[in-house]
Amino acid sequence: MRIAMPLSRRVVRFLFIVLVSILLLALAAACDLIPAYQTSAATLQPPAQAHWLGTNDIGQSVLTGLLRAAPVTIGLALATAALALTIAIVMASLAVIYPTWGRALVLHLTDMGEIVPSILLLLLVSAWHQPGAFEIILLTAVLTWHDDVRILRSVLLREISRESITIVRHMGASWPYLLLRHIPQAVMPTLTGIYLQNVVQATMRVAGLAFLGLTDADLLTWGSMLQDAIGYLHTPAWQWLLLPPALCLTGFLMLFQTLDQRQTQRPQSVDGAMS
Amino acid sequence: MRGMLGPTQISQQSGAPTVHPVVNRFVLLRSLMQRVVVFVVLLVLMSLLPRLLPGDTLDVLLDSNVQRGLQNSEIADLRDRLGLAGSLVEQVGRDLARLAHGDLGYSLLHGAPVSHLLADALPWTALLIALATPIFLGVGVTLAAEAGRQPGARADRVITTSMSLLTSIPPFITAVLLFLCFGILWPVLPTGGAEPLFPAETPLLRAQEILRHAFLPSLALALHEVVRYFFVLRGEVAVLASRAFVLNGRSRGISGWRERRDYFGRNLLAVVCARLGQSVASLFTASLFVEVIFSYPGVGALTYHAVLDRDYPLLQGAIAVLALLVLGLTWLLDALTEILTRRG
Amino acid sequence: MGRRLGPVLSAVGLCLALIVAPPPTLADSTTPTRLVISNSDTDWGLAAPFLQAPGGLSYMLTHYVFDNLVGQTSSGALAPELASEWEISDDGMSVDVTVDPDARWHDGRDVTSADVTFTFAYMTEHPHVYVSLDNVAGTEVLSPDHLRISLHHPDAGFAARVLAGLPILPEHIYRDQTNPRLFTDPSAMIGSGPYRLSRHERAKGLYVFSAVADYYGAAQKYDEILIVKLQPEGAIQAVANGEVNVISDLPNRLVEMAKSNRLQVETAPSGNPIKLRFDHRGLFSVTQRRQALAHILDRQALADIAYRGSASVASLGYLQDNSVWYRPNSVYDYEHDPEKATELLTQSGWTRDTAGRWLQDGQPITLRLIVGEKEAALAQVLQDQLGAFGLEVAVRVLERGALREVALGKDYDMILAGGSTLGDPGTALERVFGSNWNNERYKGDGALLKLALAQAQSLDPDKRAALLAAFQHRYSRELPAIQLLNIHRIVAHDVASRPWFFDEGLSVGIPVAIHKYMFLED
Repeated sequence: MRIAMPLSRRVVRFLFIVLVSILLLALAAACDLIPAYQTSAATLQPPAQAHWLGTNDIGQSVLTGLLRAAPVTIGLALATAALALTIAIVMASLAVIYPTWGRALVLHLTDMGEIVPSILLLLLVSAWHQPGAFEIILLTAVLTWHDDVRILRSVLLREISRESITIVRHMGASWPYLLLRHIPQAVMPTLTGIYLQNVVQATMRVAGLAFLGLTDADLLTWGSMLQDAIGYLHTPAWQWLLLPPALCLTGFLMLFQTLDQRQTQRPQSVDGAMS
Repeated sequence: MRGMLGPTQISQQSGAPTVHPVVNRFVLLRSLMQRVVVFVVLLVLMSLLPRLLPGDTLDVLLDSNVQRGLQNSEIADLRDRLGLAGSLVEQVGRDLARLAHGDLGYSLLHGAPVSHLLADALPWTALLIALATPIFLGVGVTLAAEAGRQPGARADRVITTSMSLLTSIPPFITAVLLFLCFGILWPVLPTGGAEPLFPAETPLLRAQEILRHAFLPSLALALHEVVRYFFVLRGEVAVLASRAFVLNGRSRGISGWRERRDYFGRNLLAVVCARLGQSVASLFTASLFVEVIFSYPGVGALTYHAVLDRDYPLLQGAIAVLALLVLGLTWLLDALTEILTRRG
Repeated sequence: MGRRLGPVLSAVGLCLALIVAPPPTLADSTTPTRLVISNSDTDWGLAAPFLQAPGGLSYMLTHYVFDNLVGQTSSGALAPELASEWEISDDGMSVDVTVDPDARWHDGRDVTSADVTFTFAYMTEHPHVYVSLDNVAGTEVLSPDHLRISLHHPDAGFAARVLAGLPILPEHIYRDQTNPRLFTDPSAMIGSGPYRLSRHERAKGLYVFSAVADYYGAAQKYDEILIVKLQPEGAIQAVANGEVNVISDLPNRLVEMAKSNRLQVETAPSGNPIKLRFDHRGLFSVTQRRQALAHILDRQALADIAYRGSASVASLGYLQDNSVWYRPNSVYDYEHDPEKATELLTQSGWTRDTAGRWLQDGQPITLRLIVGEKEAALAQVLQDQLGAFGLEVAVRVLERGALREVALGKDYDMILAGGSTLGDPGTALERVFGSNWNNERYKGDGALLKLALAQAQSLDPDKRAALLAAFQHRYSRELPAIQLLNIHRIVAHDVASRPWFFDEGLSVGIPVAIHKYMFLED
């Protein structure tokens, strides 16, 4: 536990940096510091002085596209992961606070969530209405929160059975007070671990949807850039249309995976509490 | 159910018991009931959602540049004849009653009953999955045994690192890269369809052609699953490797192929079984991407085009059948796992 | 390790070798002459008038199996098909038709005038989506091979639109069918055309059409026509390997690849120009603003960027250069001229702020543009062009179903979508003035409508040409819609086969090259 703490704090700091940098990117895009994603007559140009990463089929610069898509792609992933985690925390708390009906309800919902074939639901909803940013976040979070509940519940159970908590509880502290005040510190490493995993999952899901062309056409993400590249695999243009967004996605995922693995390689008491 | 997913919460699950120790009929019955509920909710949703949307099947059916304007009365009449009329509740009720009779409906866009369309497409998806399963199980178990029998050794470091790398590539990108490498840059394998345009006459040649066409898609499917198995199994092997009977065996000079098969292989069976349930859903999901990328005529590609064409009867039928398959198969595999563990 | 692993490894190796080794190709010299056409579409439905999928390609498939009364020569002119003769009365109120006495249904029965009158009655009850029978007052059997069709009012395009567009149904099959869209029995595909659908494998998208023996018309060139579903990239390989003869839908991005594989590529303007339509009750009720847009837009640049050469600048006078009625000299030409546009917009009451943005009543203007998925790239280029001129455009991409249902005037100022101008110009009445979702919904002061009505009812070709010239002039001045670009259709084929496009499209105006006249001797 002790050993894991500094790292999880480092993870939080890292997440903060990521958040700030995408906010800066988004701000730069909004204030036209990043050049506009403008169409031009120079279509399908290979990388050159004028366009460092070449241009796509309507003459937009790939580099500009990558930069403008970055805050959207990463922002979507971070927000989705956060929402899923929030739902999971609420559910886990319910299960812990109300050991009878709360627990039964939450476990039932979790079981159901596990067996819902989520891709079918995603397809159904996409056919119904091409989801924009807000709907993507909501939909993906609703379909993934159940993954986090069991582990959160066991960690919460372990924490509230600690003596210190029992004492405070006897002194009349309410559950909300406890949940907000005392427990967060203790469960921080678990939370950051789950969050990192959620980000990875959300990134893959959203990229997958965009790759299938099932997200709102106005939403520029690395996934939708990949989709645009698919038509040009038989021409040399795949080199600058396919590889850059693919590398960006993979790089981003690798960063989060590595971080997550480093965190969990530290000894933790989390695993034992799973059952 | 981690779909396009790829790697799951490997790190968190690796140490957890993957097989539930408690076995009883009640658990199985309850999970069956839950599946029924999920199934019914899905059916209602898929009947309801499309109808809340502006534009119904008829609109898409009549969509054409040369189409003349039909009178409103003509359109109402057509809608009536095609079973698209009535209030929302009536329509949804009609859908469910129809499904209860086993009638999957009729795709106006294809001009065919949905059941025919699905019957044409399902075998191809089944073939892909059947080919991919031995690949990912074989490769997953072998690599995990190699890496896990001596944790921290060079073999482990190399294998685990490359697996981590593979984890970070979204599965559809892997599939596109396979397509690019073996279909375009070094075109040794076919990348479109399930068969050549004109299949060979003799069964043997035809089977060979079908295998050639299925090779890349099933490889892409398998790669997607290998990582999922690798990390779990490696953890198990690492635990096994430190157990007394393995150490004993090694001291008696048992090594190589026998050690891998008798000591690790057999003990991993239960773990593999327990995970197969989850694989069913993720394989169906992954097959959607793979079939779209390799334009393979399976049920995933069919469903995808139903989404793009707003072919609601087909989409509903496909989702009903797929959900039934996924829910049923996962339940069966769960039951099987329970029986296996009860036997010890 | 070695002893047990050995066999396993060699088995795996053998499998791999089998998979990677290309299978020996089978040379079959006994096969009948056949033509293989590839297409990447999902499904065309079945080859029958009520079972075909939406879209012109499916109409063409039905056209292989069902003959119409009137067909086309290789140059596109009307020619006898099921009707060996047809004659329009002097007052234009009736048409006498003689049915070819040699014509037979695929089941061997005679095609009679009773079948034709049945079809008119049946298609009135079960409307055909391409052919309107509103102007038909009644039909009358004169003899087993003769009938008379009476009309409500004279119609110059009746032969081209109805006689050449309407597939004739066998009465003995369809008589008892109350819901033809659900009648999928093989007998639903008994027609009188040169081919019959002999095999259809839906999962593979394979259609096999076989030549009908003793066809009454011109001899068939091929014993079999195969249509296969194939991605265009794969299709190019297949043509190079001699497996496929024609690629019916080559995307522009692959033209170079096709040519480098020694395929022949034909390109033709589709006559389905992309139009910028307006909400005529909103901002663009003012003609000067529509004219200003025509001056702002650099349509050549639109074509170069969004279609990279596979589109040409369309005529602004509604009719395109594929039409015999097209009169370029009477069409007003809008140069790309920002100054002129500024002048027009200022006249219309809009002002400009210091940053160059256009204002109405002091408020910045945002034009709401709705576009279908296919034209989304064009919309982006258009947005950039108007944006550079100080007109901000908010683009909303809608899928097809939603595009049809957008509330008139509620959600948009402009719609960007394709629309046909092919077929007889009589269709302009509906396409320009109709109130359907894909019509231009134009009213104006009524003068343009008067011209359109007069030309549609004018039976004298010279008079009609003059009226249509006046129509094109007036259309280009009033601009009910701006015809932006004429998109090209591309077909690729091998040396032996010769697909061609009709200038004015197939029958009702379908821009395809793989029509049934390609399969028949001259």
